[in-house]
Amino acid sequence: MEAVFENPIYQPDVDNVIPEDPMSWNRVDRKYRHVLMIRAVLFTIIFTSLFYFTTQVVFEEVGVGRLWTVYVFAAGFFVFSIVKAVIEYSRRMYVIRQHDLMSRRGFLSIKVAVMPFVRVQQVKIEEGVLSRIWNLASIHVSSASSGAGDVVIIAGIPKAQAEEMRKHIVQKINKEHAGVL
Amino acid sequence: MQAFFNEPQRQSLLSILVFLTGNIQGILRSGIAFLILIFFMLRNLIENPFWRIAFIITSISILLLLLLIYAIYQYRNFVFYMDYNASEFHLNQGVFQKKSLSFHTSQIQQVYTERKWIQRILGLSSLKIEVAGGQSEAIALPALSVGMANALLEELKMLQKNAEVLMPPPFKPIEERDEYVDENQQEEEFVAEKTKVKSIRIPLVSLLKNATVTRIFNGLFLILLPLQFLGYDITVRIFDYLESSYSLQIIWGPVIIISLSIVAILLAVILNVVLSLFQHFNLTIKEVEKNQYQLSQGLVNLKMVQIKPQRIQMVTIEQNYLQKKMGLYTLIVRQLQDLNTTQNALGIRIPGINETQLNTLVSWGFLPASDVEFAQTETIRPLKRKFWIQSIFITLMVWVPVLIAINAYGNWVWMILLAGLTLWLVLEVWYFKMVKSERFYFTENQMWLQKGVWKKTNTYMLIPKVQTMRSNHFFWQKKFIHVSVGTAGGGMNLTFYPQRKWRLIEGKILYILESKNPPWY
Repeated sequence: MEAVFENPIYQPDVDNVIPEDPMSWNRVDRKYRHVLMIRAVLFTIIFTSLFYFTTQVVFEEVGVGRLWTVYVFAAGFFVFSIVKAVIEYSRRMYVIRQHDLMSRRGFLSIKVAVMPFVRVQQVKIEEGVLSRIWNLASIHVSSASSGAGDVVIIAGIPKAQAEEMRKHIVQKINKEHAGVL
Repeated sequence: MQAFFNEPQRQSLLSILVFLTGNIQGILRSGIAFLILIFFMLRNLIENPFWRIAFIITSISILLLLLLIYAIYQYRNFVFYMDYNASEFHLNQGVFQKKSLSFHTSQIQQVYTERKWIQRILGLSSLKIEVAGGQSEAIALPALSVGMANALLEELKMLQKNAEVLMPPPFKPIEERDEYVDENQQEEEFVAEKTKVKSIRIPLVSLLKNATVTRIFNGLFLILLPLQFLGYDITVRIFDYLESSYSLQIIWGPVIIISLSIVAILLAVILNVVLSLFQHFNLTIKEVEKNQYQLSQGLVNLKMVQIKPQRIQMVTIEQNYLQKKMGLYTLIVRQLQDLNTTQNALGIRIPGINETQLNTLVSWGFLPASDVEFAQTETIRPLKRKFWIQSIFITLMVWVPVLIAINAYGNWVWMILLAGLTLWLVLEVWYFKMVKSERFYFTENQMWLQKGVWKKTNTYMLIPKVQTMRSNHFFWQKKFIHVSVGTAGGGMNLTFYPQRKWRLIEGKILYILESKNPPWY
């Protein structure tokens, strides 16, 4: 008799699961908010500098350089970046099931990617400069798919948990590839 | 087998020099324009030549020192090892952005050593491992001692080979996994069939006929690109001349525009015919080995591509209205991406093929047969709002330039309005028909996307070829979704499809992949 196919959720040791969601999406670590916030501040500094340079240096000669425009730009961009960071954090989720894994992210556009373990080719852990301050890492799981965005990225999880998840995924791949379902 | 690489280990100490050279090359390659700019700026800022040279030398020394420190950290953090029990290869690297990568040895596509000038000078060798995945380059261990590189190469090859033997699907070719196929019987059949050579040749007449009616826009683009300056000059002169008389505008204006368009199209057709002759002359597909075909084509340069049916990931069959009248098709085959070439990413194009030849390819097993007409098929279509939303963009795209043109050429108001209105109506009707014609078919074995008004395009893939599925929608959009289904040879994009229906199909695809674990190459 053919075995009943099931695809239960694998729950890593996390405390911030969204209980009311039927998919039981896991949120990324709360500390990842700090990374997104600092990134927002850095972006504000870079873009404000560029704006300052264009308005004050390049256009100064034609008389359109006004300093107050820089302050307005900086304030606007800062507010936008912070709001974007907050929303992005709230939308960043993942779920690992018995046979596949899914990630969800986005600001205005919500992107969902799903990859069965039988198609996984590589598992990579990356630690960014900012993420390392809070001991966070991201897992990049890729298949043989040729599309530019066809990599499931789970960013903002504690490093130890990332390593545990990597091991779990690699084990799953080996089992699935060996036909043990 | 001796476990030489079971302990985490670094590369040769000389790898610091390899990393340093790579970093310097990287800076020179990406920042050469910036460095030249700084050099010229310095000439103005520091007038004294002595201080200028001293400043440049100090800056270069500091930069080299920083790069050396960076290279030392690259060496320290570059650690690799083999997990023999799990048949896994692990690699940790990176200084600011730390990366830790691991893969099963059965996933290795190719492993080889390479010695560039720096490795040859230092007596080192670079080991490259290619793992399937279009966007990832080969994994490189750039500075191993020659002995270590060869030992690791042999060990990885052996593990890869063992994994192939031990590993059941998906690493076996499709035909070997079918339970009901007797391999000996198949071999005998192949030997028997080998006496009649499997070969298809696209006749020259079909190629030329096909070239006259396809890819006209590509030809026009190629012609108009070099002629744009001359063309602009001629157009301005004609318009200046026409502006002098109202009667000339009414009578000769459209005549000249239509004549110029006809001439451009004729030139584009001639160019297409010549290009097609050079690229696809004597296009032949023939079986060279069991389940391996060779496509050869070209007038001056003979190009040959090896195609294995089980490596084909996606197939597109195109036919425009004129091709339909001639009974011709264009076939595009996308096979598992070869990491060393970009040709397969674009697809292998077989123009001017007729229906009988297509059916022959299906009967050989070169192309998968369609089961859309026979199997239980689910059909979904994009929502009507796809048309309405795109319609806004078409309206803006046409009417904004029209308003600008009216502002610039006041005397031509009626003509510009008429042209704008015609173009807008044509685009709207064309896009409406385009959306109306789009259909997505799904069976338990394959997926088809059919669309097109002038040119009907059928793209299909077998479900086992699916690697990843992505979807996206704006947070305020609840009913529809944009989907991308990725294979190892390209993807299928569906826009404005009903979200609920897609989620059901997504679940079915996952069920097929996860419960049956079908092979994909």
